[in-house]
Amino acid sequence: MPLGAAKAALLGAAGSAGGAGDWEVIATTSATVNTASISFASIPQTYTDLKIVYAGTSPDGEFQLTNFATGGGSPDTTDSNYGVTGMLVWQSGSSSAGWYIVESAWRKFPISPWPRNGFPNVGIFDIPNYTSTSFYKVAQGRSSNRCVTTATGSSANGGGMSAYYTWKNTGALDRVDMTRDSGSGYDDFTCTLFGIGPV
Amino acid sequence: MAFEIIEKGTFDGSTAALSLTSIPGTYKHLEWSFMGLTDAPSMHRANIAIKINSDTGSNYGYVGWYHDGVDTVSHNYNQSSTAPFAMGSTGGDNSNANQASTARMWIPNYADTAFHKNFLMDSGCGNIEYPNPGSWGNKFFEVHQCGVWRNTAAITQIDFDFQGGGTVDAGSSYIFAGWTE
Repeated sequence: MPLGAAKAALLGAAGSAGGAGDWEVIATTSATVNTASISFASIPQTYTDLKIVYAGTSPDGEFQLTNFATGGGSPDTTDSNYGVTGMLVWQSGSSSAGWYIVESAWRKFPISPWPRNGFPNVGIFDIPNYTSTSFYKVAQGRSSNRCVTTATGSSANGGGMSAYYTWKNTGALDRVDMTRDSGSGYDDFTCTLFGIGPV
Repeated sequence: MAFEIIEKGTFDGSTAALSLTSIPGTYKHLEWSFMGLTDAPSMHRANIAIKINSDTGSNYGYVGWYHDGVDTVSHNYNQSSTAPFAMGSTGGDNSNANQASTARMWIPNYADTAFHKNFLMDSGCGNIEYPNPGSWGNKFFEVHQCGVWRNTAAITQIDFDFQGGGTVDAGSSYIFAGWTE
């Protein structure tokens, strides 16, 4: 099938539920009261891709910070080691909408969910080939946000967003920590880490 | 509904093409993902182009939007494209050697024989020469595009062409999977 590619597996047991390589729950965490951070440590290196699915709220409109780690080490909190570019559809008032580009390392990875004042939001982030040691780690995310401070300005906005993220580290990813930029944490949230199982 | 890997692989640096053939018609939806980049010479990025069932005719359409990290979003479209045609982007030789891109394509109801086939790809990649002192401004490129193949036949083959004159870097990887009902 692939030309010039080292094919690792050729399966195809179509129709069999839970076949090889299905998405599996690695860990899930949830709480109803203010929680300062969400951490997935000691991520097994046996999966192919990772996916983070988040739904929840926050008592304040702070930035979402996600820190990565490798080699059993501490999470990397150096802003300049992360990068992101994304598109945010936001609504200002009742009759206008537009694009916002959010791109700065200090927002870290990923920049959303970005909830405010009890408005729920969701985020889905795919992290392919997280055990690769050839490349920086990358991800794509789709999420919603509700905020009173936009990416670069003010007013009550909210909307969907998509983004491409990178972490400048070639080490195999084995820990993901999610925190708020300052102060408040997460309320009424569920966050699940999935992995594509071995084939 | 379950997700099953039909095929996954790692590129060895010798090719700019990936052909998925003899796709079984027994899944409900297909999903393809990629992580890596190319060595397309003198390019910050390279197109990921596709072709369905070896059809090179003017039977494709697409519309999408993209941006390179500035506050302007551009769109592109073509109602009668030939194939292969660009659905997404990955890095080129001017990217940092470590700066992988990621792309993901969904093909719903690909074995249906009543309708034309639609698909969607999200992709993002580095977009400047690196290392580059200073901020990370404008260093990334992001594309979201949907496409159509005006044919009611079941999709049995998808060819990916990583354009720009280079090859896909060794270590780049892909997953091709099906969703069962």
